Amino acid sequence: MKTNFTFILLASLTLIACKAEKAMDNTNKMLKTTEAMNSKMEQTNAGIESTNESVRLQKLILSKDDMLKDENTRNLEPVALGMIPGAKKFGEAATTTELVEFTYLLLKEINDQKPDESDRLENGEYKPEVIAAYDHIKMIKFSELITIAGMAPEEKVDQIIQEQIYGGGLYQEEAYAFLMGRVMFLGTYLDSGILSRPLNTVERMNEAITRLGSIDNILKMPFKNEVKMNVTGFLKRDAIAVSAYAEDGTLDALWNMPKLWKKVLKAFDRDLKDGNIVRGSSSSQKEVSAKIASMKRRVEAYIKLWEIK
Amino acid sequence: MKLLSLIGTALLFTQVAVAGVIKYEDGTRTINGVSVGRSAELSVDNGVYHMDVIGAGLRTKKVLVANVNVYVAQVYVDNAGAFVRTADGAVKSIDNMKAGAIRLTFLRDVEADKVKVSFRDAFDANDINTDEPGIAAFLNAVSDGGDAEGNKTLNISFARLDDGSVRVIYEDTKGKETTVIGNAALANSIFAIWLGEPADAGLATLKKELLKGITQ
Repeated sequence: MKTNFTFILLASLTLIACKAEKAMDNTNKMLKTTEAMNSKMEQTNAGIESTNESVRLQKLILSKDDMLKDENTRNLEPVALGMIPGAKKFGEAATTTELVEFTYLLLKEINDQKPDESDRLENGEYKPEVIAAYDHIKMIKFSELITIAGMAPEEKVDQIIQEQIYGGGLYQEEAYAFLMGRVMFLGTYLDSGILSRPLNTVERMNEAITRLGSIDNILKMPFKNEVKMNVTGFLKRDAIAVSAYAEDGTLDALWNMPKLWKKVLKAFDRDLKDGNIVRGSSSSQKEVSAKIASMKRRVEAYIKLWEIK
Repeated sequence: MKLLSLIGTALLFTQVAVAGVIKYEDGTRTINGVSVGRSAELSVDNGVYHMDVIGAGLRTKKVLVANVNVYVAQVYVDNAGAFVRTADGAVKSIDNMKAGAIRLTFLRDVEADKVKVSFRDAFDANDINTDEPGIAAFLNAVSDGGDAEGNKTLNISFARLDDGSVRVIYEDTKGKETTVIGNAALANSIFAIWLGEPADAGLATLKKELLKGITQ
């Protein structure tokens, strides 16, 4: 009886051992398969990353091409409106390093490029048409620079400040110029656009507050006196030397925030009122009123902060 | 003699730019291609007022890195001798005028909303209540007047009425006239846009030009 039991036990153990070995084999096979799969996944991810990068680069190229289309570069003032869609896409697709590198490149091109010597007249002056063409090309580059800076996403601007200004980056000076470009563009964009008309819809008001908020952030930074831009290299046009704060500490009318915020605050009662919701629309008056109240509080807070200063 | 007189009258009328209730006599000077008048005649219910030009200048607006030319402004009053050519005294001296006019010749198209907001900003800069009925009615006339068209003229003229009120005639660039009746302060308030506290650098420069006067 005891022998039988031992035999059965040994047989069972052998069977279990065989099964275990088989299971081990299977596990090993599975591990190998998993490893192979992981490797393939990594390859796929690398492939996706490469595709994503290609798509991103494609977006950069296309958005830049869009900005430079003939019809978008004809009228550059007050702001190059035609460049805005392209600049927005460029700002979304570009990395923060690319944004400041591009600023560096554009500034260098504007400041350094000169016509060919063969374009000079006998008296040594450049031909008038050459001067006009060169200055226009330089103004296109300048418009590109400030439109991209103005339309860049807020989080990327914050990152540029962290990396290049606080972090002592390679392009610190260009980062200041980028911020100056942003202030100039948004100040002009608001002055000649949204703030030159009644702020009589919730979205107009929201747009004004968002854009003014972007300028406000820059003008309150500890390094605010360094925010400036000096663009030379025009053949006939005056150099563009501009700083966020004048030497006496005053602000240009285009970005005089205390004054602009007060103007916006007045517009709540004067233009926006209860939101000008068209009767029968799906918007709830209660929701609109709540949104208006919230926006008004934001504006009042901005005004108070300037008063505390 | 009669013939000469007729010819003289005909010549005079060729020099006159007729604009609704107000007629301007051309002068010899131009600003950005716009002829600056020598005098004007305003006809309203309670009489005809002869006015002299007291100043003219170019209104520019800073956009980005350049100044854009917006309009040429000319100011006329019926009692030019009583006009005070100082930064602080100019608006107050409009009290001495029974009639006056501002003539704006636009050098580019400007949307109605933009004209209205720019006037409103100027009222704000001068602490003028835009809810005051006369000012509100004036701003409505600006809105209703539509876009200011380039190369056309917008006229704002006023006359003080016997009851102490002020009649303002707003003539848009299409020639449509809107009359606004307001209190005694309405004329000074409107003139403050150009002669009062400037709302921006472009208006500050224009004010200096207007105060300087003009030599024909």
